[in-house]
Amino acid sequence: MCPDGETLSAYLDGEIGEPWNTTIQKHLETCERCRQRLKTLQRIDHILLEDYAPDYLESMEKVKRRIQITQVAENSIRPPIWKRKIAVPVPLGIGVAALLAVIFGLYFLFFIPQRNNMRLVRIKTEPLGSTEVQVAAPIEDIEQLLKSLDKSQFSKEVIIKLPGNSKFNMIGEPAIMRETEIYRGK
Amino acid sequence: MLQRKKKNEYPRFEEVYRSLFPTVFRVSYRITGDKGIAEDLCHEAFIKYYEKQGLLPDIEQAKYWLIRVVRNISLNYEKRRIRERKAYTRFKNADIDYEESGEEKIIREETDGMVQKALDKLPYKLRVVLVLKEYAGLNYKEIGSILGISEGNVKIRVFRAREKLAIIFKEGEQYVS
Repeated sequence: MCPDGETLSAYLDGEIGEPWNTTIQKHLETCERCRQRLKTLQRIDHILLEDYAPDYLESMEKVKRRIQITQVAENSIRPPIWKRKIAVPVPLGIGVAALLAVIFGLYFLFFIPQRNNMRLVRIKTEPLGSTEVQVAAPIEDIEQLLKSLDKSQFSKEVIIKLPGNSKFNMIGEPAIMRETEIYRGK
Repeated sequence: MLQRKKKNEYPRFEEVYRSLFPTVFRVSYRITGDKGIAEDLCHEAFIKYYEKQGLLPDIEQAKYWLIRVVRNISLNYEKRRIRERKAYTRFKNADIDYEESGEEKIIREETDGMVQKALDKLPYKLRVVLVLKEYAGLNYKEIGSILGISEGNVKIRVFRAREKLAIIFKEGEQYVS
């Protein structure tokens, strides 16, 4: 049986795998009609390949000059810095990201708690021995702290350090002054 | 074993240009049938390549990439050409006195080859496949991958293109006896 045109055309292009390639080859030995069909296809290929083609050397130089001009033009009008693409190698990107994570981590670990300390009261007690105890508590709990210190049998002197930026407003009359006045009145 | 190339081992632009321009130009010319337009296609394709070259580690890959770009741009050109051809036919039918300029004459003479005329008569789909086969030296698999079609489809199109050319040549009675 004769192969169809598509198969013969693919055979010419060396695109037929075995065993079909050998089958077609053998068939062509005995079939004059298929030999002629193949010959026509081969002739077309020869015509295409042997045809005059314009000389590419001249175009090659011409296009090269145009590319150079385009490149010069593109370089002279570079996009503004915020529009430029920056190529960052992947390992460098990961490294920078890790470094930023460490910096932010440290910030949260040290700086943020220090800010919270501004709202804390540091209390130093000097017990009978030379041991120094530091207590830190929120400013809201100050009264409770004082009460607990009163109960401590070793407390002699209590120093309460208030945050440096604390502001106090005088509300009402200090008890000590009132007492003095009461005494004078008497 | 596959080894990833270092960037400085990639082919230089000048090297790629020198070795691939003849093929890219031949393909562009055979698809469009016009030397000036072929130069435009090559210019655009190589400019695009210049921007992308870091991604193409060898000349073979650069070749496929450039041919694919040429084919894409040529498609736009083909659409424009069809529109212009229609407009030109209307223009001629309007019976306006039209004289070909010297430059136009030269361009026309350059593309006056019988083979190119015959290729121009092929539908774009068939022409591209045959040009890639004959003038870029690609096999069916490579053509299929560039055009995004199956190998079987390439096989059919190559044959149909040859079949049509045989008829065109026969009509011209120039080549086929």
